[in-house]
Amino acid sequence: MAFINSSSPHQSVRLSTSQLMRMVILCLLPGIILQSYFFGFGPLLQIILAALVALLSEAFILKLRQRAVIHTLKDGSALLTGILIAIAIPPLAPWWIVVIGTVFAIIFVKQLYGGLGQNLFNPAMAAYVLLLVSFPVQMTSWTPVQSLQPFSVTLLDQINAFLTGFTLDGYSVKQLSISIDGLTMATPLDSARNAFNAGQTMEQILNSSAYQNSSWQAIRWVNIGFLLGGAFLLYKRIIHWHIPISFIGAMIIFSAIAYVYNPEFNISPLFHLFSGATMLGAFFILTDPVSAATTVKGRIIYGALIALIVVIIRNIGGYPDAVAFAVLLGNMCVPLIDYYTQPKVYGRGA
Amino acid sequence: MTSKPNNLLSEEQLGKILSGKQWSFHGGIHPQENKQQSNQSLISDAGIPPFLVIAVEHKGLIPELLVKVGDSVLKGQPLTKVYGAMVVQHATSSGVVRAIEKRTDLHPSGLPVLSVVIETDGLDKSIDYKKIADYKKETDAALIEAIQNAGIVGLGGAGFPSHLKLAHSKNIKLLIINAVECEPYITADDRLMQEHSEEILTGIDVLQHILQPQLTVIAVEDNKPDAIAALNRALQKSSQANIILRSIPTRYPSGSEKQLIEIITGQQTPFEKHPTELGIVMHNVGTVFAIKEAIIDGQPLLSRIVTMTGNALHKKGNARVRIGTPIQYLLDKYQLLPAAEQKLIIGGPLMGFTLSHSDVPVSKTCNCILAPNQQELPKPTPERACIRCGECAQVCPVELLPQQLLWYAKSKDHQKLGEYNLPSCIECGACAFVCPSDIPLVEYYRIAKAEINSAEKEAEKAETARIRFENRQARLQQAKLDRQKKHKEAAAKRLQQLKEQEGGEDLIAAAVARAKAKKEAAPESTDNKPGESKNAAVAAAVARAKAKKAAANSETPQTEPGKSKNAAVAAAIARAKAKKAAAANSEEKAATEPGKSKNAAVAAAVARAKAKKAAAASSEAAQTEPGKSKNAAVAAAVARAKAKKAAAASSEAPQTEPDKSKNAAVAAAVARAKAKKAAAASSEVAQTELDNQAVIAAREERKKQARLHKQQKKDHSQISGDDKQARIAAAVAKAKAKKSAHKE
Repeated sequence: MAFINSSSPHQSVRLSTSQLMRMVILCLLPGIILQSYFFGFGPLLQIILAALVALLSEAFILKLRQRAVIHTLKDGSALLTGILIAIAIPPLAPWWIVVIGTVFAIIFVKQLYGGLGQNLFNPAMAAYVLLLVSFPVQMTSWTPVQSLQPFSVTLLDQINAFLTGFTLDGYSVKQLSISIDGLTMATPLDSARNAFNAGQTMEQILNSSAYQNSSWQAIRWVNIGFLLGGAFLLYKRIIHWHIPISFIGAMIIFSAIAYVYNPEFNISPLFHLFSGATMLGAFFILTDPVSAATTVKGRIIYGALIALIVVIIRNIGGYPDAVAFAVLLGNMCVPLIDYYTQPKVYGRGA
Repeated sequence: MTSKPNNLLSEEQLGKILSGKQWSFHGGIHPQENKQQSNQSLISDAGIPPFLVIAVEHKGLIPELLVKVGDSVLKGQPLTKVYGAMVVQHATSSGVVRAIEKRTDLHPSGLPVLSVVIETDGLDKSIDYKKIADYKKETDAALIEAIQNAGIVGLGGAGFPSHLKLAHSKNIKLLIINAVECEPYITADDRLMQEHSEEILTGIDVLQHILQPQLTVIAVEDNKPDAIAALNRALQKSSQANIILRSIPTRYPSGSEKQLIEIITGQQTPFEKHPTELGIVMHNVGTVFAIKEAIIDGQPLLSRIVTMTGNALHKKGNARVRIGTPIQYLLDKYQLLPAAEQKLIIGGPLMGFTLSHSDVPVSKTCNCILAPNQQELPKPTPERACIRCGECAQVCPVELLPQQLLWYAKSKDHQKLGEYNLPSCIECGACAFVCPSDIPLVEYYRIAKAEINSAEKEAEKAETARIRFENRQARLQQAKLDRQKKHKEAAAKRLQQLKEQEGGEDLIAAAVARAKAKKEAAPESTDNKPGESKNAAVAAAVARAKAKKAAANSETPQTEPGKSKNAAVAAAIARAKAKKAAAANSEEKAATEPGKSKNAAVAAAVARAKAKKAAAASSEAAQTEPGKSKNAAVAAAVARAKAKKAAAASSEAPQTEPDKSKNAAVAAAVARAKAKKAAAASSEVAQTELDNQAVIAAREERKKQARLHKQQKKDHSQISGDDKQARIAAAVAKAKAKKSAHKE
C-alpha cells in the first residue's frame, strides 16, 4: 500500500505564530483596561478603528501582492500592530490620526519591506514617530484623567469628539485637554520637561500643581498594567527575558547615573520606569521578534542600547518620550548586532 | 594517529566524571515522549517471513557473493565475503536463494540495491556457530575481525561499521555506552536493557578488553527507570570495575553522539574530527548486545529489536525481527489500520524518514516502525513567514542560527551558509519542532547541503578536467618539440651520409638550385608547350579558376546589404544591364581569342570594366542614394523621365523649360548629361545595327521618292506652275521618311 511522504521532523509543538500573537494581544488587556478606566472610552474607540484599518490595509496590500489573504491575516500580526498604535496615541486624538498611522505602519513599514518577518523597523513605532512629527499638537493632547475633567464627558461625547473633534456640547478636544485650573494637560514626562526648561528642580516639579494635576497617576497605573501583562508573557515563555530585563535594568542603571550626578535636574529611575511607554516598550514593543536582535547576546545589547537612547532623549533631548525613537534607532543597529554576536557553534571553538 | 594529546580527556576531567559531575548541551527540546505505548510488553519474536530480502550492496560497493540463485542456505550462513571495510551479510533464516537482484533498500532515497532474496523453509536450521573459548586470551585484531565477520554495525541509527570504531582506537580514556534513546516513541533499547542487562554488561566487558578504557559510562535518560534499575541490579551482581551508570535528564537530542559526549564530559568534539580525538569511543547499547552475541555465542547479527508503534497499529510493542523481513509482513502482524493519509515512518518522529510503500525489508539500522494516526502526529500546517522569533536558535543543540540559515538557504547563498556553519547541522529537527511558523527548516538545510555538495562535486570535476586539458596540451607540445628535434637530427644525419657517399659535395643544395631554376623557367613555357609540365598546367588551371571567380565576383559587389529596396532594385537593373553589356562585349572580344586563359582573363576584365561603366552610366541616374531627400529624388526621377524622353525623341527639345526649380534643373541637367552618355554608350554597341537599317530604309525611301519624282516630271512636265509645290511636298515627305526611319 502507498503511504504519504514528508520530511522529518514529523512532530512539532502546537504553538503557532497566530497563537503567539493572540497571547500577546491578550496580555495587553490589563494595560488597556486601566487606560480605559482612566481616560474613558477613547482608547477603546482607537483600538477598534485601528484594528479594523490594520486588517483592511493588510488585506488590500496582500491582494495587490497576490499573497494568500486569509492565511496571512490569521497570523494576527497586523491586528497586533494596529492595537499597539492605538494604545500609543492620545485617547481623543481625531480618528484620522490613527487611520494614517495604521495604514502607514501596515503598508509602508511592513508590507513594502516584504511583509511579516522582513520589515526592518517596528511598524507601530515607525507609525508613531510619523504621527508625532507630522501632527505634534494632536499627538500630545492627552485629556486629563476623567476624575480631573472639568466637564462630564459621556461615551457619546467621546465618540463625537473622536469623529469630529468636538463633544456633543461643542467643546473641542483642546478644551477637554485643559484641566480644572486652566492648565494645559500634559503627560508627566512632558510637564517635567517643561519645568526643567523653566529652571525648576525635580522636587519643585513633583510638588507643582501642573504635575500634581497631570495624568501621572494614570500613566503609572497603565505602566503597571503592561508590566503585569509582560510578566505573564515571560511566565508563558512567549517572550524571552533577555530584552525586557536588559532594557529595564539598563534603564535603571543609566538613569541612576544621571540622577546621582545631578538629582535636581534629572528624573529619577523610578520615574523613568513608570512613565511614558517604558513598560509597554519593554514587554510589547522591543520584544517584537521581527525587528529585534535574534542572538541571546545581541538581545541583551539591543535592550541596553535602547534604554540608553531613551534615557538620553528623555533627559537631554527635545522630545518628552523617547521609546519610539529609541526603538527605531535600535532596529537600525540590529543587523550589526546580530552579525557580531553569533554564538560559538559546537566543535568550532578553539 | 591524528589525535593530539592536548585534546585528550585529562585525568582531572575523568575524575570529575567519576565523581558524578554532569554537563549540559545548548538548547534541546522536550517533545511528547509516547514511549509507554510500546515499552510495557516483553520483546516478542516477529517470526519467519516467507521471504527475506538481504541487501548486500552498500554505497554502490558490492562484495563478492558466496551464494548463487538456487543455493540452499542455513541461518547464519555468510552471503558475502569480507570486502574493504564492509561487514559480512548473513542469511537470517534457512531456505533457498530465489533471486539475486536489485530491490528497494530501507533508505530515505528509496533506491534499489543488490539484494539476496531467500525463500524461507520455516525450519530455521542454523549453521554451527564457532564460539571463541575465551575472548580474554584473543588478540584485539582477532576479536575485531570476528566482529566484522559477524556483520555488526551501529544499531543506534547511523549503521557505522562497529569494527572500524574499535580498530582505529588507541589511547582510549573513556568508553560511553549510548542507551539514551532520546527520540519519542522508540523503546527498543529500553526493552533490551530491561530484559538483557547482564548480556549487555558482558558485551561491555568485551569492548573494555579491546579498547582498555580507563572508565566506562553507561548513559541512560531518566525517563527509563526500569532499564536503569535492571542495569543497576546487573552491575551489583557483576564484578566489573570502572563502569558507572549515568542517568541523564530527558532532553532531545541528548542521544546524539556529540551532545552525549558534551553531557558526559563537558567537552565538544572538534568540528570534522572523531571522538577518538578526545580519547572517547561510543557504542550503542544494542550494538553492545550484538557484540556479546557475536563473541560469546559466536552468532552473527541476524536480527534486531524493532519498536512497532503508532496509533494506526492495533498491536504495539517491541519485536525481535530478522534482518531482511519485509515491512509489510510486520504491518500485517501488528495489524495496521491505515487512515486516509497514512504515514509510515522509519525511526522516530523527529529524525525518521517516511516510506512511500511497505515492500521494503528491515535493515540493521531500523529501530522503529511508526505508523501514527492524524491525531498524534497531525499534518503540518502550511508554512508561514519567519518572524525571527529565534526559538530555533534557542533550541539548536549546535548553537547555530537557524533563522539566518533559512534566509541564506532560500537565497542559495552557499558562501554565507558556510559562514553560518551549515555543515555543523546535525539535522536533529529541534528547530523545525519549535518553529511557530511551521517552517520545515531541516528540509531546507538538507536541500541546501545537497546543493552545496553537488556544486562542490561539479567544481571538482571542472578542476580535474582543466588539469587534464593542461596536461594534454603540455604533452602535445612536448611531442611536437620531440618530433621536430628528431627530424632535424635525421636530416643532419642524412646530409652527413650523403656527403660521405659523394665525397663531400652538397647534392641537396644542387638539387634545390635546379628545382628553383626549373620553377623560374616554367611559367614562360606554359602557353607554347601545353601539357609539357604538370606545374604549368596546374598554374593555368588556377589562373582560369581565378578569372572565373573574378568574373563571378564582379557581378556581386554591387549588392550592398542594408540598402533601400529602391536602391537594390536599381542595382539589380544595373546588374542586368551590365550583364547584357558584358555579354555583348565579351562576345565580341572573347570570340576573337577563345581558349586562352590569360588573354581570356584580360578580356573578361576589360569586358567587366566596360560593363561596369556601361552599367554605371545607364543606372547612375536610377541609383538614388539612400541619404538623399525625397524632394531631390522625386525631382531627379522627373528629370530622368524627361531626359529619357528627350534622348529618345531628339536631343534639342528639353532645353525649353525655364520656370523649373533650380534643383530640378540641375538634376535634370545632370540626368540629361548622363542620359546622353548612356545613349551614346549604348548606341555604340547596340544601336549601330538599328541605325544601319534606318539608313537603308531612308535610302530606299529616297530612291522611291526620286522615282516618283522622275515619273511626275515625265507625266506632268508641262505643269510648271505646280512644280515648286510638288518639290516642297517631296522634301517634306523625305524629311518625314527620315524621321520615321530614325525613330525606328
